[in-house]
Amino acid sequence: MKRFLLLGLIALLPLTTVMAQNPTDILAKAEKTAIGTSSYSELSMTAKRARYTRVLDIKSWTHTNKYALIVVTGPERDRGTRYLRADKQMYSFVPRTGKVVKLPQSMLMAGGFMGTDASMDNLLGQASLAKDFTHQYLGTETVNGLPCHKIKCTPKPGIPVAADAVIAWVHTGDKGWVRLSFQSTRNGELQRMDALEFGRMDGVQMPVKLQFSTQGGKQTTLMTVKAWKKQPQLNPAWFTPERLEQTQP
Amino acid sequence: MTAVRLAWRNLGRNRRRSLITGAAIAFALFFAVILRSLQLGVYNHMVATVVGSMSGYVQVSDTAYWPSQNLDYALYEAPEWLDELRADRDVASAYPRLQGFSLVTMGEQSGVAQWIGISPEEAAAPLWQARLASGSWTDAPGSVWLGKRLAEQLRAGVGDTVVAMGQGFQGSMAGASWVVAGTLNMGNPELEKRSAVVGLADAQEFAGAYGMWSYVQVTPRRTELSHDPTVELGAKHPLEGARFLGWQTRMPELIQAIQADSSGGKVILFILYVVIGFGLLGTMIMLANERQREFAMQLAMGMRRGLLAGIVFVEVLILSMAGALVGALLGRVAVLVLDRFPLRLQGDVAAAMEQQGWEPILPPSLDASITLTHAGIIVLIALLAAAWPLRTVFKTNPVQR
Repeated sequence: MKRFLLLGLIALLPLTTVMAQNPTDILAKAEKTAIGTSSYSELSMTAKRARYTRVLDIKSWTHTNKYALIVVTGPERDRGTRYLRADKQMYSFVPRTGKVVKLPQSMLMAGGFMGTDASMDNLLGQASLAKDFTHQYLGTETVNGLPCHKIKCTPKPGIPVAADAVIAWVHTGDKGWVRLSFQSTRNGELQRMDALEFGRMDGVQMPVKLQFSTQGGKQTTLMTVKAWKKQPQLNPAWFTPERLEQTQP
Repeated sequence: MTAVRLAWRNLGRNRRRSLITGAAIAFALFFAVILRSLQLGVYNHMVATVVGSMSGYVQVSDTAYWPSQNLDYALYEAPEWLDELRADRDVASAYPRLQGFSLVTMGEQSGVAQWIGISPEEAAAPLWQARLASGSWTDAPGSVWLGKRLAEQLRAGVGDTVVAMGQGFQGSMAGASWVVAGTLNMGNPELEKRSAVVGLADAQEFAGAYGMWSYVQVTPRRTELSHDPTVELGAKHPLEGARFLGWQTRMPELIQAIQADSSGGKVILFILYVVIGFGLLGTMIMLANERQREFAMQLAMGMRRGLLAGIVFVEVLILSMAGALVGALLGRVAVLVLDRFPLRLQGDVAAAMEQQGWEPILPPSLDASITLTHAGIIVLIALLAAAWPLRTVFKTNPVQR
């Protein structure tokens, strides 16, 4: 009996080493495709509110988590509205004004991208959980039916994020993050992101259906990835205010 | 009737005494009215400054609009209902507005502003006309009037184009470029830093809230603190999906501040009344003592105590009523004079008040109920003081005197 127990312990040993692996590595691995690949994507967002439902269609080009160009293709009234982020600079173009407007950086931290529950930085590139945060491993938990590592991330000083902490649930396998909870010490949970469905796009494993919830889940926005392609030719020089002005929906 | 005639004659028997008693009552009332009118007047002034011009005494908005004041909870335009409301004799004005928040930028400068879409009638009202710091009011679509400090922050002047963008109605994108037509003195630095006024139609177009109002700002004919017409107006002019909210409900902190301050004023009035009350009691005791011989004589001659007491009571009643009438008239005249030529604060206090957007004056309240209430109180005090001579009447022994 004793020997059997010992054997069991020995058998479990490699498993525990896997589980106790560095949370920073877990996050770096989970973010690898999102941050490391330049891409073009087409997304559809559906925001549910008490009195209305809003469907927003966008096209987006991204390069790392610091460069992004977003063009709204629907609904009709908002068609052609564009956002550009080039590192620390942010610009916006609204067809009705006919002008490129430079946005204050604080806009990145302001919630609610065009009436959805996604924040500006969710779409324009958010801070890297692996690089810009310090980590604390909180064990494993099952979230949305998937076994996950639970990791508490605290932003390093000087990183422009609205949350005081981010709790990340990262799949123990290779699916990446399953849930992110953006927490404020004063107001509790500010926003939650859930990866509901995973798929393969252009050969890359990624979440294809995401849900953003705010106000404790009272408001939700569903985001579907309709198309996703690698765009290795994109580089920082591509993301210019001129590009913002010229890119048609 | 005999009692009244006798009482009247008795008053004339010692004119000086009657005059002093009457004057005491008159002055007490005079001061009470001035004190209270000034205090309540300052509150009215405060409320007029804080709510009268901006959010309105009464707001008609969607039932879900307060407290979030979210643009998404806008009302459908209801022109017939508005006409009917405006026709009400108790309504001085009613203006629909649409408002929300947006980013306003010019070149590299930007600021967050509350944009307020006001109707042409409202812009034409003297209040907004008087606020213009530069530029002019025009009907040209696409015009914006910026709070003075916001204009400074953006370094925008009349004729410059600013771009506004933000969230519009139900999540849509709000964006427009507006030409600065003027800058505004809002009387409040905070408002001047974050206000952008546009035409109602421009605001609807900007926010994508076509044919919608955020709320209707209603100013009732009577704006005294003691009179809250919200419920009454709401019952007379119901609008589906909307409710009437008075400033008292929307800004409980303001009414609390007023109540706290007002109780201080009431304590002072109480002290005034105690002093006056004892003064009156003194006069009454004097009167009773001086006339004890007279009472004894009358009783000895067979006058009934009840009738005698009645006469004394009527005397005090006439005296206090006359005094109250004089005091009320004097007080009213003084209040009207103060209204015409309000007390103006000087120096640092005035500067501090102006900073906060208040005209540094102490206008009196013209509410007639103040005079009536305090006249009632003073007559009551006089009648209570009359208990002493009445007691004397019943205690006087006709034989021993």
